[in-house]
Amino acid sequence: METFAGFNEFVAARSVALSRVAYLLTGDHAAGEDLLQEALVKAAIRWSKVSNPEAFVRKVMYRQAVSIWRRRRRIQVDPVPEPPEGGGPDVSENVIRQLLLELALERLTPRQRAVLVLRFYEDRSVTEAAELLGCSEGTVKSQTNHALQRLRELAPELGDMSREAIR
Amino acid sequence: MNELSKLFRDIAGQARGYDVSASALRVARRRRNLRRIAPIVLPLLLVALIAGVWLPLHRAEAPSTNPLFWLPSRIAAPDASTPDLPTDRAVGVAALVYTPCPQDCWRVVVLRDGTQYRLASPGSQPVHRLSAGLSPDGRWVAYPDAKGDLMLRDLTGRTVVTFPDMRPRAWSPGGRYLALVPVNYRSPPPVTIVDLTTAAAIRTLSMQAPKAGYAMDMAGILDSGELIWVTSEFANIAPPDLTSVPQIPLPKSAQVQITDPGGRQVLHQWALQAPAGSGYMAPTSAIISMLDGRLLVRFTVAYAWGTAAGPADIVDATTGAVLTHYAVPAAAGPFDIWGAAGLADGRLLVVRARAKQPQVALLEHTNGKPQTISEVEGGYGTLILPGNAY
Repeated sequence: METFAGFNEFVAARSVALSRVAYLLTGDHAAGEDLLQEALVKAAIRWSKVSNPEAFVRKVMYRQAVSIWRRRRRIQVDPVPEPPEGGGPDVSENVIRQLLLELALERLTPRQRAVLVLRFYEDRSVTEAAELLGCSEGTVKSQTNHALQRLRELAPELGDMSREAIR
Repeated sequence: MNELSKLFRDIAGQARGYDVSASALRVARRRRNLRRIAPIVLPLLLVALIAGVWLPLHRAEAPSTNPLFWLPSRIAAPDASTPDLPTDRAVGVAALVYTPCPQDCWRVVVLRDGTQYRLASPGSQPVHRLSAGLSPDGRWVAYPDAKGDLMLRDLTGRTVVTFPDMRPRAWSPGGRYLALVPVNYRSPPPVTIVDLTTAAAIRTLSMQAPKAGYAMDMAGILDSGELIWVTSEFANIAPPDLTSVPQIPLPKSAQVQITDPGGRQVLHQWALQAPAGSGYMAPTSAIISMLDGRLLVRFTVAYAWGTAAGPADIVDATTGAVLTHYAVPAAAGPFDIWGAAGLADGRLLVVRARAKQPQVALLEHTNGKPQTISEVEGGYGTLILPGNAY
């Protein structure tokens, strides 16, 4: 359909990157897919008016991820299965740290999690993060500090890197 | 890149490429189509919703759901073939008594199944044309014969008792007693109490006359035998010509007394205050004793052309406190709202006479909205419902 011209091409080109953000924001494949689809639906409806589709989709995903409605819907999603306890002899230290981070991220609020993804995955500045989340820069800073503090409490093993991140 | 960023990238690497392009487009098209038709569909849905909610409620007021199951929804005009009330057998309980035309008509009793019987021809005096009564349970009918004597007939049997020169005044709500007063009297009237279990007069009592300028009348009787008296500031009860237009204005207040069955001791006394725009007009069933001990008091509104039914209150019999208020639609003329009648269960029936299609309308308890429950064909002069007496 003409009104959606270029939509499929955009999704084909950017779906991997967008899927990664969606997964990081939700920590769950089903929820991530749901989040991405919802953002793409909104983009498609406004397709003829959206000048920067990727920025639009990312903004929708972040805001959707921290919205109260989204959180309510996530309650209905099956819980994330528990990761294996400890590490087997063939599991590298990095994998263990990944698991620890994933478990810790599960315990953060959606906004804290979104702030960390923006700041440490996407390497966004405070200003950019604030614009994407629709909040003030001060909020982004405080949420970042709170999130890192919480990570240190939840996963002391990640303490060094979280302190390093603050610097 | 610090360690945290690296870990985030490692985690992100676990993400699959979510193939949601087709589904997103499908949902987007559906939503877009919905937005296009919404301006048309939403008003239609709104109309349907209103119709769906309102119409069933509206229909609920139709005669099919008539809460007064005993009142036929349509009462045919009597004709020459209408039989006289048989004296040799029971006919069944009645729903109402009425005269199908204003003057010189035979009085007709209508049973609950719609069957009609002619009663004796009314006497010559105007009061005889008006006066009649029907017990709250529809069992007893009281009416004057051609000589003006009161006939008390048990419709569920063959008992007929005559009380010379009397007229019915009030029934006790459970149908235990009937209070009679003389056709003509000076205030206060001597009251004769009839025990309906035996159809015999058990006592006659007279009250002391009120001070000058006041009129005292007997307004009701309870199943305990206690009597309700009303003293108002002037007498528009003025016998003997009850068909004359009452004095205007009507009294705004009256004093209610409830006495023991012998009328010797006042048990309760309180002031009856008429709602704004109305007055208390004694005595024609203006006070109805309810089965639960409360009283239903009807008020009257005076118009230039006469009087018509006004608002009504359900009051506490011991204190006079207003418990429920009924608003009655204003009469548009002498042939709009003709009158009202209270029932022993607390309901108020408005008798609306419009042109040649008089109707009996039940007033909603909560908002005073009338709903037609019965249509009386051919017009009428008087219409008496169970528990009422005129």
